[in-house]
Amino acid sequence: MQTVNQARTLVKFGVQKTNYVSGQGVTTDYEIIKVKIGEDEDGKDIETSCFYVEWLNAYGSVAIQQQAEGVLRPARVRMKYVKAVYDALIGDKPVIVYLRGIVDDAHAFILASAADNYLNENQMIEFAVKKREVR
Amino acid sequence: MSLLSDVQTKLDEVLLPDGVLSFHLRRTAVATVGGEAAQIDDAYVVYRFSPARPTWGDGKPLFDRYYINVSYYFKNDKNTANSQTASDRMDAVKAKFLADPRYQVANDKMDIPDDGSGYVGINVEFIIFKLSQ
Repeated sequence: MQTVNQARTLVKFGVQKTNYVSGQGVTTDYEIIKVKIGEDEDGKDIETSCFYVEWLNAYGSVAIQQQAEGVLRPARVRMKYVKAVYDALIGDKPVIVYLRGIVDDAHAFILASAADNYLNENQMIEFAVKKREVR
Repeated sequence: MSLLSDVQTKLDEVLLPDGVLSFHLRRTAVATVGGEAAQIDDAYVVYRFSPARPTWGDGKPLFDRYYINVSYYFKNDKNTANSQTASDRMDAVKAKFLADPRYQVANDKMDIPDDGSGYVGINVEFIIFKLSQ
């Protein structure tokens, strides 16, 4: 039975959002996924965009082979199942994973595999990521 | 106002009320219009610019000319209503551009055949005359 063993790495997820403005055309940015985690005493939603995951970098010959093929900084990510995150990962819009929650190009990763809802149990998501190359 | 925003504004004033989006160079999947969910038509417009030789006088350019190539694409499902709608909309686009005295039609409505994507289109090329700086 596979589980999330050490969810110590903070990440954020950004989903591509394209907006069209009359007279200006299209603008594209990445909207950070937020989920409700509770309510305060006034009944207002408390939301978070921070998710702790098990981030396992590839190393050794596997990493060297992948990097030779242009897959930079490959890693396997496991996290607790979060519906909003899973839906975004399997959706048709590009998703960026921001390592340590830092929203910049140096910490931006993209999916290197489809996200898997492990055993369809809605308990754990597993996916592979690679560095998002900015040209 | 830049040439790009002038063309984008003219196209949006005519086509956006029908949910037809206009793009410079490349079509992009759009989630929202004006920040809100909106009904987006299958048909879309892609436009591009290309400069023409400037007109000279007394040893210096007097005015510049730019071609504005406007392509309206729509689903080709042998539905005559679709192609009639496309033709009517391009007529409206032409009327909008020609209402501005700087624009003329360089090449009138021309068919764009299906390239395998299921879309066909109508192309019109405008030309704008601008005084050189």
